[in-house]
Amino acid sequence: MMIPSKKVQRCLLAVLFTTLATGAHSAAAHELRLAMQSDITGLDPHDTTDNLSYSVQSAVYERLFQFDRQMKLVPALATGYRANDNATEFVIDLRDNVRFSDGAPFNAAAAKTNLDRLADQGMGLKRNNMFSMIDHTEIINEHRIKIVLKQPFGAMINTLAHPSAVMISPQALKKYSNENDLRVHPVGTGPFIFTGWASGRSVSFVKNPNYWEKGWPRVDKVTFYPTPESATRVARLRAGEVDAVMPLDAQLTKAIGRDTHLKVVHDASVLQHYIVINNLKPALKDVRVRRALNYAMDRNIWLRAVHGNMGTVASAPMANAIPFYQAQAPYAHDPHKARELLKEAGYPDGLSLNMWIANDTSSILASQLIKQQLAAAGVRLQVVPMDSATRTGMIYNVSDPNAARYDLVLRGWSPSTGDADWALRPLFTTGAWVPKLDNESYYSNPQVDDAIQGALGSADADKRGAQYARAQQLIWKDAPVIFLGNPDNLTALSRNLDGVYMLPDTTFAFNHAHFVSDNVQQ
Amino acid sequence: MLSYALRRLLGIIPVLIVVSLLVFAFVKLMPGDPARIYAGPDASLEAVDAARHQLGLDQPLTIQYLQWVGNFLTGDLGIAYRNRQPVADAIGESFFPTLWLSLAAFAWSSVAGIAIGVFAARRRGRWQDYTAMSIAVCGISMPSFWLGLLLIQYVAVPFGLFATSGYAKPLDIVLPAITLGSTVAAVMARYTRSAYLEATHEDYVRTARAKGLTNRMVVWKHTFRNALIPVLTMLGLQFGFLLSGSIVIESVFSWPGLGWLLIESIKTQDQPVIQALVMLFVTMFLVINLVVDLLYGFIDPSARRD
Repeated sequence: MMIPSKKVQRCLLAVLFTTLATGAHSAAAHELRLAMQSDITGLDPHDTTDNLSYSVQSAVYERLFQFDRQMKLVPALATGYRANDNATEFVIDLRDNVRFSDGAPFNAAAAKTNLDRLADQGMGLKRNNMFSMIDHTEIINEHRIKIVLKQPFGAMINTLAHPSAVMISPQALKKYSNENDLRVHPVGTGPFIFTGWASGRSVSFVKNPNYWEKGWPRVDKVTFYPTPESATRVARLRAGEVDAVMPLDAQLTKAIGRDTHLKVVHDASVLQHYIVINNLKPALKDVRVRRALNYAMDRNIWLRAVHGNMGTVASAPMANAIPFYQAQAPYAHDPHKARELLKEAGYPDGLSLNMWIANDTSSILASQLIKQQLAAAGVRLQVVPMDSATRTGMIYNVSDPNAARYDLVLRGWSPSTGDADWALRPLFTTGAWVPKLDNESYYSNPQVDDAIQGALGSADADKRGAQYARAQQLIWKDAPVIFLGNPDNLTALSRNLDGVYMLPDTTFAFNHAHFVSDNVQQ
Repeated sequence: MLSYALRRLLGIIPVLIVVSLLVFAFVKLMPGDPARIYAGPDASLEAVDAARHQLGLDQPLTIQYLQWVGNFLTGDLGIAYRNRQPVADAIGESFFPTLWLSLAAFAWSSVAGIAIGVFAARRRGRWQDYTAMSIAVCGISMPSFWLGLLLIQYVAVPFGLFATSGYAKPLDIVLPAITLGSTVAAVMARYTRSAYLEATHEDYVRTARAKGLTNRMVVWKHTFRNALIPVLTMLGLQFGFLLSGSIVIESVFSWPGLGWLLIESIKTQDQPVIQALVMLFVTMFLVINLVVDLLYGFIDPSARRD
């Protein structure tokens, strides 16, 4: 530990000298370096689907609305909005005095260009589908725009807060009209300006000197290093090569905890872990069997063993950070009750099921625990690990739902619009059966469908809340999946770094990153 | 010699054709739907179909194969699904990091492996032999990713001389090269030892001794030179493995080479990249084998005759 502490002393001296040399109040030059688990796929958020790329893109690009650390909706490039009663028209006020880093003004025309690009289903961008409800947009004045929808859509503002709904400079859109050029030349209003992307090596940005939010950013450069191996990510942090790693494996938190120069930051997540139950399998059609599986699981042990006891266990079909969440009566761990329910359903000797999982460390760890717990209730589990591309293919390329070969699938779902609609509709409505959306359970309850659809038809929070409360209650009772919970998102940082954290949707934020030199202790 | 080289070179073509069919078939047989992965996790059915059409995956397989081969011959390797980069550029960027790493690993491991092998053979049955061979067995048995993680943990992190991963300065190649070369060094040591011992029992060695040559001449000119022939074949094979087989090491050290590219591409079922990479690996093996065969001619004059 001698060497790192000397290093810190040297840094402090360097900071001191620069401060003395350049005057008392000017900050020292700082570079923020982050290690992340893979490379980005591109730099056009309209044509991106992975959270890691969205996170890196947020250096350059901003949205009209965004989420704060608690997944609350906050205005960003917008300042406010008004909706009509049946949620078909949204008038949005835009922030004044904002410019793109190429000098183009951010105004209603720029917003219109971007929203039209997202809504244009002929563009062939990966995120067009998400904005297909937009009929057209109108410029009301320089700083006000109106979005008119084809049908009521109460979750519109949340959809505008999705990390793909960013504002790209209209000049850049014109200059790089070919998507292959735009995806490597991002120009936005964000706190940083893109400088380069060396595939597999690094993505780098410098400070945007004309950023609209006064006093930010407080680092001069940001560089991201793809580092696939999680132990190597932590080694990089310990060696001082990077200032932050994301994400951090729960298994590696101990290694961080021993190092006095580092800290672990954990934040609540909306990523819901659960086990799909194939509701079309003869045995699993019976709600008693599905409830038995839920009673068989000890969620607290799962959270402790697999996720370092950081997070919350499931108390509803969606995370408690999602608006309209309503706690349900818990499925307390009760293997005896599970056996009774199975007996009642006609399985006195228990039953044998298969479970498909991803072949990563935490899924394998979780599956061992699940197998053990279900065994205590008389369920013999055969675990089938496969790589994610294979698994996705085998689940989604099934034309006849009855031909699906899985009984259970261990997986997670992160509603990236932070809204109850996207937390429930893709997983639990009849219209969302795979391959249409992500209802891999083939669960169908017309009352649930009605409630979720009904909630979309209004922009009124009370009306929407009542519908979602009903939907959650019904889903919880029907137990179409084994509910698990929401483990925290983990990051590890240098002790003197603040303002870098993971948002509940598993993207990460660094726009308010700053080094607190005074806090460095020996 | 020249006609021999030419004949061998032409012989590569049918092999490549068969391999291209196999590679194509294997990639298409992979379970999973690249169109869905391309379109994204919550894409609609229409979006997936649009992606399938855009990628040409809705065409009959024979047409897809012929198009791929046709484009391949004109130097067009296609566009990567993952990041829309031309495949040729992606491979070009990743090739040199892998080549430097392989050369560095190859250089130290072949010299060390052969030296240890000869040393052990000349002290056969003594404690030096047992020690060297025990170390070699450890080298073969130790999972290289584990050695890599140990080096990162106990060399890179505390001393700061070498980077834990990536490469910013020339010294950063040292740890991954040690990791990558350890197995090869061990294999070469064991192989050289047995090849050398075999050669010592040959008649010409006995004759050389009988005609009163110095021990040094017997060891280096007669025994070692003849032992070198099988060793060279092994070296060629090992180099092929180094070039294509550093997948695990590249992941551990975040080395942006071909192994890393292959892993990223398999994760996203990036068919054009997988196909091009496997073809590249096969071609490299064929070329290395050819070079090794031609090198025989220099060491063993009797090989030049046919």
